[in-house]
Amino acid sequence: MLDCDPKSSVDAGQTNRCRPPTGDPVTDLEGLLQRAISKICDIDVAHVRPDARLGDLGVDSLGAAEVLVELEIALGRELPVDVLRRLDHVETVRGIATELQAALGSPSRPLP
Amino acid sequence: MIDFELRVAGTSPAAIAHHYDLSDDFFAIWLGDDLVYSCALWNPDDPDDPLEIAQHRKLDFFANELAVRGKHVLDIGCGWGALLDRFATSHGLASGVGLTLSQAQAAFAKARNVPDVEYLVESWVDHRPVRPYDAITCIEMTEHLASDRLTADEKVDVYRAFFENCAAWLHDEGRMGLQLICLDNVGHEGSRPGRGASSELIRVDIFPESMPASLSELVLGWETHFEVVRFLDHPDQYRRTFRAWGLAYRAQLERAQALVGDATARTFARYFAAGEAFFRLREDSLYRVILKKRPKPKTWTRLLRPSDVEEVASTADRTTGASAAALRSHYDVSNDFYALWLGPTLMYSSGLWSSDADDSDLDAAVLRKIDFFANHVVRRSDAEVLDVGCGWGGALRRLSEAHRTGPSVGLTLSAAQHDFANIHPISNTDIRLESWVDHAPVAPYDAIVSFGAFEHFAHDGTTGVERIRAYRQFFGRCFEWLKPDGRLALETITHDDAPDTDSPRGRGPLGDRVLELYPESICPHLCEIVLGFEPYFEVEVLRSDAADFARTTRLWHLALRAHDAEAVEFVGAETVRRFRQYLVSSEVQFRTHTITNCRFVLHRRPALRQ
Repeated sequence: MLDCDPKSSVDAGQTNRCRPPTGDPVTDLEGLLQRAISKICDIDVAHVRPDARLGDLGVDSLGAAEVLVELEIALGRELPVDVLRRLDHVETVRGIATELQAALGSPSRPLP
Repeated sequence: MIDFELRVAGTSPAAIAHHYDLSDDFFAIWLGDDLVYSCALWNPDDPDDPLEIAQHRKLDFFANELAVRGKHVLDIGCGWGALLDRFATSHGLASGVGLTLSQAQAAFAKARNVPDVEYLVESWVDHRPVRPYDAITCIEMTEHLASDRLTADEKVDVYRAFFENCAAWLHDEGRMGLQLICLDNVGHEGSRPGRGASSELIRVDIFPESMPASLSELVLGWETHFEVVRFLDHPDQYRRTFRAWGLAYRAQLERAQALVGDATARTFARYFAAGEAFFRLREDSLYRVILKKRPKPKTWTRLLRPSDVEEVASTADRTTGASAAALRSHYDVSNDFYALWLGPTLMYSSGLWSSDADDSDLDAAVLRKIDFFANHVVRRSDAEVLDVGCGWGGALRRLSEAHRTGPSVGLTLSAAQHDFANIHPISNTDIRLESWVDHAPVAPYDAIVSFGAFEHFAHDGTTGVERIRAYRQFFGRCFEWLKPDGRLALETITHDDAPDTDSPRGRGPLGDRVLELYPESICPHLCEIVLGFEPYFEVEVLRSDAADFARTTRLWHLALRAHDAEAVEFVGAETVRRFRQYLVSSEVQFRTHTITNCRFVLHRRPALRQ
C-alpha cells in the first residue's frame, strides 16, 4: 500500500512537481518575474524595474511565496526551497532574478 | 490544573463561522464537490494523480487503519461530512457521529443522508456519547482546540483534557486516527503576531483564534492515555494539496470573485501560496498518527509542562548519564559470551522484520534494521558517519560494506568492545574508547546513528525534567556535529505503559530484573525524547516497534539456551541465569507494551528553533 514506508513520503518532495520538468532553457526569466510581481503587488509592470527594491514594491514573505508559485506554474519547473527561504531577504528584482537563474542552472539573459 | 473554561479555550463559533460558513459553493471550487478540506494522500509515483482520488485515498487510509467495518465512529471536526460518508459507503461503517461548530457544514453533511450517521453542531467539550465508540477520527481539527491567546502550558492542558475525554469515550483498545498540522521549524512563540505577512494572513484573515500545536505539546497531551501505533510525516503531501487547490482556484477565479467578492477572493489566492510555503519550509508539518487506548492510564510522578523545560540546556553542561564503570559491568562481561547469543553480527539491538521476512532469521533482521536507517540517513557515498554507542562495530561495518560510507567514527565506553574493534578493524573507521560528552569531531558529519545507547544518557533516579536536560545536551551536540542537511538515526527502548517514577526500582519484578543488569540507566518516555530533540530536529520517521524487540529477545534467549554449557564456561552459571531472566523479562515487557522500541529519523533544522 501507499506510504507504508516513510521513505516514500520523503521522496515525494522530489517527485511531486506540479508538472514534470521541461528542461527548456529559460530565456525571459526577468520578464516572467516582472509580470509576476506586477500581478501580485498590483502595480504597473513598467514600475517593476530591475533595480527596484522589493520592499518598495510591496514584496514581503507572503509576496515572495506567491512569486515563487507563480513562476513555478509559468515555468512548469520546481524551484529549490532554498530560494524561497532567501527570497524576501534579497533586495532588488535583479537580485531575485540572479537567485532564480542560478537555481535553474541556465545562463541569464542580460538585464537592460 | 486547568484554570480557564475549556469552552472558550479554542476557536469560538463566531471565528469558525468566519471561515467555514463563507459559502459552500466557493469551497467547492477548489476542494471539489465532496468538500474534503484537509491534506490529501497522494500517490508519489503519479504526478497526474487527481485531487478527488487522493482525497478518497486519505479517507480510505484512515478507514483501513481504524478497521471501521461494523463499527461506531466519532469524527471530531467533521467538516462537510465526507469522512463518515466514505466510511459508510465504501467501508461498511455501522454508525457514526460527526461534530462541527459550523452551521453550514452541518447542514451540508446532514443533506448527505448517510444512514445511521448523525452530524451535530456541537463542541467536543459538550459532547456526551450515548454509547462508547470503537474509533475516533480528528482530521486537522487540533488547530482549533486552543486559540492563539493561550500559552504553551495552557495549550497542553487543553490537549490533555481533549485526549482524556477521547479515551473515556472509547472502548478498550479503541483507536484514534489523527491528521495533525503542527508547528515545526517555527515554535510556539514564533507563531505569535509579528512574524510576517504570511503568518498574519493565516492568523488574522483565514483562521482567527486558532493555533497549531507543536508535536511535543500533543505527545504530552496524549501520552497518558494513548500509545502510538503508526506515525507518518507528510509535509510534502500538504504542499502538493495546496498547489492543487490553488490551481483549481485559478481556473475559476471569476466565479470565486462573484461568490465572495474581490477582496476575499484575493485573500484566498494568497492563502494557497502561503500554505504551500509553510510546508515547503517546514515551518509547519503534517503528521498522520494512529493511536491506541492504553489498558489503563499511565501515571506520572509529575505532569510535565512546556515551561518546565523552556531553557535549552547549555552544551557546556556535563551530562548525568550512566558512568563508564556501570556500562562496563554490562558490556565487558565477555565478548565470547555475547557472541554465543548475539550471533556473528554482534549487534546488540533490535532486528527489524517486514511481513514477508523469516521470523527466525535474526542476523538478516538486524542487517535489515541498519539498512532501513541507512536508506534514510546515508544520502551519498563516502558519507561520514558517527555511531554513538557503537558496540562491537556491527552497524559501522554494515554501513561501510553495504552503504559505502566514508571515514567514520564509533564511540564506546566498553573496553571489551573497543578491544574487539582493534582486533577486527573496519575499513576507514575509527572506533574510540570515548564518551560522546568528550567527543570533538574534526569535521561535521553527514549522519549520526545511535542504536540502543540513549538508555544510558540519563541516570536512573532522575526526574523527567532532568532527563530532558540530558537529552537536550545530546541532541544539541548532534545538531552542532552535523552538516546543515544532516540526519540522526536513533533507536531506543522507551517506556510505554510503564509508569513514570523517579526511583530506579518499582516497575515490578520484570522491570527490576532488567535494571539489575543495567545499573544507573533508565529508559525515556516518548514525550521526553520529543521535548529533547524538538529545538534541534524535525522528525521524519517515528516508529514504535515493540514486537520487533520482543522477537529479538526471544531469539537471543533461544540462542543462549542452545549454548548453555559454553556460556557457563565463559561467565559462570549465575551470570548466565541472570541474563536469561533479563531476556525473558524484556520479552514479556515488550509484548505487554510496558516498554517499546522507538525508532526515529531526525532531520537537522536549518536553524535552532527558539
